[in-house]
Amino acid sequence: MDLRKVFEHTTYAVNRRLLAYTITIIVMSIITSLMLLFPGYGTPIDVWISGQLTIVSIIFKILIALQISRIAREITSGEIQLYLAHTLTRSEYVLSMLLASWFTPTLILVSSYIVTFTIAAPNLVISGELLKPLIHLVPDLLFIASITLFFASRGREGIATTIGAALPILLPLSLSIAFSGYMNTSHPVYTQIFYVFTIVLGLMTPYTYNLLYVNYQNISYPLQGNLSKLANPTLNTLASLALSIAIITLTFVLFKKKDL
Amino acid sequence: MFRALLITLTISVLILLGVLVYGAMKPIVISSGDRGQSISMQNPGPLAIALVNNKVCFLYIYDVSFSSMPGGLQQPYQSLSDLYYQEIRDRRLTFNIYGSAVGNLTNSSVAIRILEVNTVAALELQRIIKEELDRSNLSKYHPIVTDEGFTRIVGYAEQKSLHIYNKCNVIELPWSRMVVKISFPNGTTRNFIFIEPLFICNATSIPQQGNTHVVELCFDKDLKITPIISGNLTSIGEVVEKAINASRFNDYSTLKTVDLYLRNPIMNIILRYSYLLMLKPRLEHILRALAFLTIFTGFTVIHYRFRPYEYTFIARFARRLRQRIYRR
Amino acid sequence: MTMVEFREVSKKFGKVEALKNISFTIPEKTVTAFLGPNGAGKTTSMKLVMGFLKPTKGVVFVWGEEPWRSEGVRSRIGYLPERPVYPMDIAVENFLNHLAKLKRLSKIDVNRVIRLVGLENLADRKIGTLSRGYIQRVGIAQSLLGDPELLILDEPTANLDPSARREIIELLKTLHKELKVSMIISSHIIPELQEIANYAVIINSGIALEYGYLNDLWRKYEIEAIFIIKTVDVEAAARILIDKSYVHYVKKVSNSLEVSIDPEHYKSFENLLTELSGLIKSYTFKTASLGDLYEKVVKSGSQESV
Repeated sequence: MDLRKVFEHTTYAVNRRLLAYTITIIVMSIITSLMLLFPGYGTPIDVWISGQLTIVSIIFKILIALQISRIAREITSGEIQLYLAHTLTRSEYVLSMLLASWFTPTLILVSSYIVTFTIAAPNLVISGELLKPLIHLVPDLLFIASITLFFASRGREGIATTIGAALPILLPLSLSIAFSGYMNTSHPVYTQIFYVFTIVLGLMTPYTYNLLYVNYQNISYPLQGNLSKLANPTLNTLASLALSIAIITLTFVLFKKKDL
Repeated sequence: MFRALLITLTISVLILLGVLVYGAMKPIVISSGDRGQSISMQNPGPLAIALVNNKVCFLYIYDVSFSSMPGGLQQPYQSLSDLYYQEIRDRRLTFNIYGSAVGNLTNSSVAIRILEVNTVAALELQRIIKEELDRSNLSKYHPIVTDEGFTRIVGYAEQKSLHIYNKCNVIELPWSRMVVKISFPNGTTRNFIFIEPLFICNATSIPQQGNTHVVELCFDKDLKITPIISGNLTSIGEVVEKAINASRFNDYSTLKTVDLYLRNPIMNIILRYSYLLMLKPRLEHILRALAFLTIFTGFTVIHYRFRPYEYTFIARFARRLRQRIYRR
Repeated sequence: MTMVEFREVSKKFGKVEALKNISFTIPEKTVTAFLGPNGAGKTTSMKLVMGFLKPTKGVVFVWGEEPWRSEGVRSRIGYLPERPVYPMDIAVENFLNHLAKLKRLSKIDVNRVIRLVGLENLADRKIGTLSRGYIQRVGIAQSLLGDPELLILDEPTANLDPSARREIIELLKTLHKELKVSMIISSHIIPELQEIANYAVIINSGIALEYGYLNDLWRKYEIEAIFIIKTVDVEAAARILIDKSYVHYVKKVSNSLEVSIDPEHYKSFENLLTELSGLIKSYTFKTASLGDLYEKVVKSGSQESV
């Protein structure tokens, strides 16, 4: 794999997506600036960061999904043939698209976040308080990217767009329901069902999983013992990362054999 | 990729800088008034009662601990960052005093003064009240003092007061009192009068931490008031005289009745604490944002040197602009 | 030396069999006309050469390598896709610059192809704002980047108006003359190709009916070539031309001459006309000899299959 070509094609793809990224960063910066202004009365810092970051992450997940689903359009229209005809290999193409549509927005989100808080609250950045949620957020964005990439690389733009746009909202919502169900049910069968859902959905959105886990950890609950049976958020995030990498690897392998 | 990163970071810093500069030029003012941070104080009963000239006066002392309020004085606005310098303005404590009276209520028939004193003066005031009660010895059951005693107490409070507020408005509320006839199983019936507040008096103070508020409430002696649960209409002056006499002759029945009257005048006090919070960005944040802006602009220039073809859109835009200008 | 070889290649798309056990070869330094009606399997064959498709059965070799396995082969090929699939939101120059970068080419190379296809004045325009003819030029420009040894042009004149078609054909002629590049050109408008092609692969319904050098095919299928010549002196010109052994007949049509020749001597005849430039005002191909060839091949193919 020629990394120089990957870099060039990534840059080209990113520049074509620049307008979308610019609009998103404007929206994110306005949200962050305004929320810095009105953090609310007595809201603990971690809760405040989570709330703000959740809104921003949903916006970025939808952005990533929409950008990745553009690959399907390039495949079905035949535009991809132009790049492949100019020595780009199939693997280089997929990798550069992943870098342009997942890595770059993630890099933009993380760096913009760090820069904003280095200006506004440097202590939070130095203490690492701010970086903790980002550790779970990056794999969360990667999962959405990997699942959308899988469908987009099969040339299924409709499925890729629909799933990509729906998952960022549906996953956190369903996980919240499953988690809450698990934490509030003592019936053995229901507990099992909610447990399975929590674990599966947790892999798909490790950021929300961490958020809910920490939240339930801080509140005293009658069924607090249930929490100890769930996977630790860090372990869940690592498992989610492994799952995303597996999906991406499968995508690369299948794309090698795909008729264009 | 780097161009996108540099552009988006520059935009991000520019927006934050814009908010900060705008904030520096036009500080953000947040009013806490709408948040309804009010506390209701149980009426602790008057500390001193006296017949002064043609008026019956009651004296109350309230300690107000603001730090216990939501968004208390010490940290009224908890900020995530030290992005804004906070300044509290127009701190206010509004007294809404609800009472009941019947008759032709006018502004002159009820008078309320609020005197703000420090804790030391409040303690001394309580000592003076005790001294005057002992000296007057008018009632063993009610804190009734002589008019001279009362004048001395109030005089001391006036002397030590940091602020005196006597802009009290009496508002006759358009509510009538409710008389409900209730039959008992033994066949007897009684009229129960449910008191509705018939006047409301409000005054605004600018509180200092730990200070005490002395409230002086005076009624015209002839003003007729009603007791809390039941009883006949009677003038407040008569009630005080009855209390003194009943105390002298240990007339418990009368004492029991007048007790209801003397606890009556102030039904409730609602305190509303409000302030305006002015948020101003700190200069160091603006400088830090400017530093980042400089760094990103510098990196963009360096990136342009290495990959000028990624910036052809600027040249193209400039050319089109020039063409448009020439055409005009 | 063989440049492209299809060895018993079949390609299925679901239940549809686009190519049926097809075999043919294309030697180097040829301009190959890939002939066949719409849906014959021309684009599929070209995509197989590019390695965009994997054969269901059989093997495709390009310079001895399987293109869908060894993607490096593509670096030696310039490709013009059938449909205008170019990114419409990008300026011509930026698009070509990017493709040049992938091939490690310089800005000079980009400027050269832009000049070559006549896009100098439109280089900063977005592709989406160009007419179809110019978009096709962008396509040709991108295919020429990096001086490829082989140009694969899939329907280069499709969807163009007659004048734009003419321009593209002239451009391809110039390119072949100046760059000496091998080409595989597909078109269902056969007369266009006869001006530049010297090799042909004729396919129909996924079957290769015939392939070979045109001279051989013309001879094999007894096709003649007819020229219309405008001359200053009809009589004198006719006298000179009729003397040539490969000329079948010379006919006077109003003020022009219609000359039928043995297609094998096409080049010699053209050279002769160039020598007679003082006498000859202009000449054009009248006959659809490639069309005739195609028709004969298809006819004989269908007879064989019967």
